[in-house]
Amino acid sequence: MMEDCPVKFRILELLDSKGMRTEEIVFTISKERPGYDNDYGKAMIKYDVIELVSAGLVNEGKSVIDEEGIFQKGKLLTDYTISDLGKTYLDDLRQKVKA
Amino acid sequence: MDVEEIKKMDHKKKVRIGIIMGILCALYWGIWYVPGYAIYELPFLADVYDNILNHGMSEDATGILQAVFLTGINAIACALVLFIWNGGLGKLGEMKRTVVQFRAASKYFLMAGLCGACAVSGTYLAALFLSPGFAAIAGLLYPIIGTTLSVLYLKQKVSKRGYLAIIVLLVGGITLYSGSILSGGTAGTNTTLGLIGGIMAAVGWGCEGAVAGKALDLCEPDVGLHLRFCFEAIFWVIVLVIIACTGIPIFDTLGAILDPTTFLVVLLLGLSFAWCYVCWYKSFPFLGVARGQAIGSLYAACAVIFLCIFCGPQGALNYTDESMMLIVGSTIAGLIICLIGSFLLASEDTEGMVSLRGEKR
Repeated sequence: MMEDCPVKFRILELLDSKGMRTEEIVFTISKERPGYDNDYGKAMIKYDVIELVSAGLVNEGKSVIDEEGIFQKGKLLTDYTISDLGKTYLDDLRQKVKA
Repeated sequence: MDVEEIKKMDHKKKVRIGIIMGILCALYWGIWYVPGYAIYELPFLADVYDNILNHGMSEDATGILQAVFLTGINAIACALVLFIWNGGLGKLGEMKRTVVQFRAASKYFLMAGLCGACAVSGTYLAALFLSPGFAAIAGLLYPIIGTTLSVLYLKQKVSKRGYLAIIVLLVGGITLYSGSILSGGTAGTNTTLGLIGGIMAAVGWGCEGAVAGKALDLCEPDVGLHLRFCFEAIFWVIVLVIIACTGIPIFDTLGAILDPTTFLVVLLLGLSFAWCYVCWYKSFPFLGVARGQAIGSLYAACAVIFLCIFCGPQGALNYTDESMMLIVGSTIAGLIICLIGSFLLASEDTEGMVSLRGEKR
């Protein structure tokens, strides 16, 4: 539903269906929209996830080190879930978003 | 290095990025005062004043219209500069996706643009009708409103150390300009208009921070701030066209903007103010509105330093032989207090800032 919305809207929508790890979020969104399927685009999506954690809309879970270079070798791959506040924001967005 | 250590390092890095953004915001904001003062020395702005005055308007009304004209030019310059910035970052697509979601996203940036329009024009009015020192102090009060709104409206948490740092930074900023106020620097041409301008600046920037903070929970800072400037520019264009339609010759000397010196000054206005806002908005998601605004209020110290560099100490601080000790002393004391406030904020426990919302620590 929110494939054509701002990246953060889409991240919340993805996490509402199930918890996801860094690379799952990044790869899903980078394939959906043009200009994001490169290292820079993927880093921008990861940055948006970090900002959502900071805003308290997304919770951080367990992390593992990306030893195999799935996304960014040597960096953390973290499990994310949507927070209660994130759910409230998402419910509000669903009523307001123009399809 | 184990996972927990890397995680802690990432959290520290996140807060460090927020603080660096806040400091860069203060630097760009401070340097904005240099072209901001220089433009008053150019025929471009002086001619607007003369045209309106010769049209039969009073001096006060002419001053207000000149401030409106300058604020409009500033907003348009920022909006244009940011097209290059967001184009370079590859964020124009995200901008399109954000602007169409008016109810969910871009309405907040419209509100932020209107609050910013109120603040910038207010600061020009306060500087013109009272004094630049008073305008700076009035502007410095915006974190009080921003902090109150971010805690009550955005429910962002601020630690005791955070509150202390905000208070120290505000005291430092006010001390910076207290010398010029105490030595009679408030003897302006129209005190009432100057005070209204000061209130507009503090309330405008404080409210803008809170509204932008809400929108930045769900939007890209670069995109959001560009939308904010586009809305502000559209607002001022409408206002200026309405003024021109009433017969006031506000656009008569607009062509002078193509003069190379004038163009360079307007470009520098746009670059410094746009980048200041880029950094201001980027500091909010990681630091919260209260801390972001408090670090941004270091602009007062940066403005004094840059004006001293470009205009010389006497030109920047506007002292006489009698008032030199008081003004220079208060400036140095203010700078030291600002440094202490910045240290308090920068050395805050980063683990308490993983999320800006939640239990107070």
